[in-house]
Amino acid sequence: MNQEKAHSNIVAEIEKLKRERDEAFRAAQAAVRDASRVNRILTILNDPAPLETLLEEIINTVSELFSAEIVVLFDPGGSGNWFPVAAIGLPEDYQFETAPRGHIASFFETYLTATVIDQETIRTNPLFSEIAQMLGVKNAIWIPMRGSRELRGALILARCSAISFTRQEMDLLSALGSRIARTLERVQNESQLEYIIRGNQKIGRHLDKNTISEEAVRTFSDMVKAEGAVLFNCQGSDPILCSNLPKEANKSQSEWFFLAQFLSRDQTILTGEATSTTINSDCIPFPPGLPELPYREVLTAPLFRDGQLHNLLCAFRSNAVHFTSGTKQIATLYSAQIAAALEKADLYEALRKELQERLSVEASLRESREKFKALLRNISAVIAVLNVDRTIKYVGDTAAKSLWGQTGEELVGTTLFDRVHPDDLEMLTKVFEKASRSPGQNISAIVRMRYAEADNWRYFDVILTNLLHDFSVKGIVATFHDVTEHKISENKLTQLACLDPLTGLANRASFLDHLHLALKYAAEQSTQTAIIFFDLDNFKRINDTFGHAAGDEILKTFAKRVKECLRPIDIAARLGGDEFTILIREVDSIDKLSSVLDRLLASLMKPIVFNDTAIKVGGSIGVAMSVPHEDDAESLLHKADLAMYRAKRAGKGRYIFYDPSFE
Amino acid sequence: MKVRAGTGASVLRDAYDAGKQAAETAIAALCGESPAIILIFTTPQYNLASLISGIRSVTGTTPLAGATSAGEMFGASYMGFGAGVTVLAMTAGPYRFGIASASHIHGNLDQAGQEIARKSKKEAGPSPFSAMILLADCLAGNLQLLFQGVYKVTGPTTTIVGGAASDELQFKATFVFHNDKVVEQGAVAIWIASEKPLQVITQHGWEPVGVPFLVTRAEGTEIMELGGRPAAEAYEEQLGIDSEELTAENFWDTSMYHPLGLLQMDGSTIIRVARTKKSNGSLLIQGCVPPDGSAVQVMESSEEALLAVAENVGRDAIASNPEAAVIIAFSCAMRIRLFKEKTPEEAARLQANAGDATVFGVYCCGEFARTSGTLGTHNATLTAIAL
Repeated sequence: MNQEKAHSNIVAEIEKLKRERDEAFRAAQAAVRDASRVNRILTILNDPAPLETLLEEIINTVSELFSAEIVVLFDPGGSGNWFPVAAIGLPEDYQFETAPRGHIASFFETYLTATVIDQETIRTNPLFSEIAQMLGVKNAIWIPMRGSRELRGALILARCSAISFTRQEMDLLSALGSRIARTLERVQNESQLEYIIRGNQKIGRHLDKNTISEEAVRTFSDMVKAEGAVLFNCQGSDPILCSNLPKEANKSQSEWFFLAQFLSRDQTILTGEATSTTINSDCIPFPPGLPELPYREVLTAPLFRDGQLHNLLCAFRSNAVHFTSGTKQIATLYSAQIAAALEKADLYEALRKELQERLSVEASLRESREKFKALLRNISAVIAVLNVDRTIKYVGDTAAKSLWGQTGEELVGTTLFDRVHPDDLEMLTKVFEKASRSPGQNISAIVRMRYAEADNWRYFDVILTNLLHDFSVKGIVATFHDVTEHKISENKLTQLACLDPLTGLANRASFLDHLHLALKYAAEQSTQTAIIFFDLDNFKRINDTFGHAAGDEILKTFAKRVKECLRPIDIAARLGGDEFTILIREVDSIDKLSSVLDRLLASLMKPIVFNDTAIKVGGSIGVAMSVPHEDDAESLLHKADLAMYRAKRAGKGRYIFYDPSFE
Repeated sequence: MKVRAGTGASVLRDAYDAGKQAAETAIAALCGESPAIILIFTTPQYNLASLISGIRSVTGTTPLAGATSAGEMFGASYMGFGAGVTVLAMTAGPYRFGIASASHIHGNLDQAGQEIARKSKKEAGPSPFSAMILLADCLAGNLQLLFQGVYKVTGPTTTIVGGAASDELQFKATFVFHNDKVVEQGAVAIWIASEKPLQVITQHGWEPVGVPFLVTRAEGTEIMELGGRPAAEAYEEQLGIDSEELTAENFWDTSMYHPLGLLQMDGSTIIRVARTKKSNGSLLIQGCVPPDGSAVQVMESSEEALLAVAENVGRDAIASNPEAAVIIAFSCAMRIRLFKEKTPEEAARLQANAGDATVFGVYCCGEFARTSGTLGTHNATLTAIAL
């Protein structure tokens, strides 16, 4: 019996132990399950995922952990409206009633702590009734989510099963709701800070006040999740500087003006902090008769400059959803950023105007300079200022390059005289020295100067004006006018005047000029000058036989042969018809002259081929040597002429020196 | 109006012939009524395009959905690896059907889930209640994401049931079917619009052992830590097994008898399976991995308890819809491993408790069943719907 009793006691004990064990397991399960709920949510909240992913993970996990078929997350503090920011279990096309003063708004006002929504409310409250019926909702719970400083959102969990939400679940969800709110706060804060950083980069690119204002209102309304923003002007009659409000009324409307005036007197604003104000008659004493503004909440951030309130940056919401403390802080930061950008833009604008004026003046100057340069180009002149040592102090760049092939920079410091033709150097030196001694006078000369570094000479009419005494110049101003073309034309005319057009030899007048000069020089130097006079022996017959063309050809050929017999300093001339003269300067001896005469006679005797016919011409030569201080050009020429006739008479093809006996 | 369901099976080797034969049998069972939907489960060893052609040669353009499997339940019979094909032909009865599929869903599971739910719902048209049979490639990634995508569209009023296609546990390539298409790396959804609520019945037969753990670290497909300790060590200690006893190679032989149970709000568990352990002490999970912070328990069961699940599911399914003509069941391929030669008993017990309804089932690599909240992926579980 005792054994049986003992056995039954043992069995009972075992059963008791089993029950206790199961009880302990259940307790452990409950504890671990709650820990799991907290851990799962915290794991997600610590995940640095983008906001959208984070919200989705939150509602999926809450749904799973609390067996809630429906989870809806509101975040008016962040979103600025009563639309769910995330939801699961709702039909895709289901729209909550989200009117500004609707049921969601009233829930926020009514249920400040976690609340199990009773069956009656589920069945009758318009927020739940339709959806509860549609989805078979049997239990629901409202969890307000309080952030670090204020209420910012709420969670609704709903079950289609008959399992009620327990007190423990409600407490747990309240704690989790707070963590979710703080996480949303952090994410929002990070996102807003990113706006500020990006905004800084964006705004930093602009220096135009209008662009900055437009960027500011656009970014501000996005950043604080408002429907639009306005930049108010605290000074001046037009209150709205810039706006992106979709519902913006006429800018001139007095309600906006009143609002701006009212907000600019707000004590928080005046201390430099942003503030969130509900737009209703309780908060803002709109005068009777003013039209109602289409917004219910305004976030105002001040823009100060030099301690004065200049502008207000305001963001508007249609719902009376307060902007959170974090958002207000961010708004304060952002408005300071915009104030700085606008100040910079004003400074830039002032600078720009000044610069524009300067540019305008400079443009006029440049225009004058261009005209002057054009003038200089047209007059083909180089204007230079020379130092006393003849180096170039200044020279006009464009003309110098055009006329001398070198820039002004290259020329400054060089000696101008290095560019002058050796034959003209002495003359220019004299002219320069004269100018140096004659302040204020214009002294001119024509000299050849080198173009660039090549041996390419051009003629310049140089006018030197001594302005050494002029304090602003302190140099000799030299104007170089390129007269090369003019000089070439002049030379051509000279040649035409001095040369025989058929043979290219000197004409009679030119020959006589040269002869005069040569005789003068010979007299000075006590040397002798010789005249060789000759004509062609059979020229008239040749002309008659072969025609004038043949005659001309014979004259040209002889002229060429004559030149080949002479030195460069000797001058040959055609006096007319077939008469030629040659001026031989500085005759040392009769012997040297004889060699010239032999070469000349040989060339005259050499037949000329014309139309395949060899024509023998021949010539008679008379020579006269000058007597210093006695002979002039005419007399010497006459002497040579006499000698030539003597040679003809003596039997052609010979040369005879003048002898006084011929007279 | 009751649904009429006809089923057919074929073990012919030629794919086309097998498809044709199974379809002919199924259609014949409708006694002349027109099918509204065709559901097929098959060994992956057939030429699948040819198989579908064979079936469609009989069923014509009747909407078709299906998947490759790891064995089929055909009435009270079990068709093992490589056995053949089974075809279910259903008349519309009180239902309207819509089918949609998506291919190459890996990396886009949520969107793909939404897409097929939306399309199939639209095709079926609106109704006060609905159900969905969801079939998906088991190699497409974390199928819970696909499930969540589906749920975003269905909401709580749609019962979701289904399974992940298998390739007879080769884990190389699995396929789903949509009309005449063999869909690669895809998912297919059958939306069933109904005038009355439809229930999904889910049971696994596992019981927790000892105290639960918190998953303190999970990454990718691994649980690294349980309760702050190396996961394998904590797991083995819970089972009283010396850590040197289990190797990566023989781990599965033990772990399939001791899956992990993901603790739910009501004290129930959803099963997850550790396939093996790694040298770093982590557990490699088959299918969906319990996330960081989850509460899990080591589970145990007996062959009888696991088989008894079939009876419960059959009974509850038919109870939920007494007029049902068919019970469509999704069992886990792991249960085949557990039951071994007793596997046919599962189909037999299910059928024995299904009343007048015909059992038409498949062995999957993961089962879908939403019971509460958004979690809907299971392992080592039997789930079913009676239509």
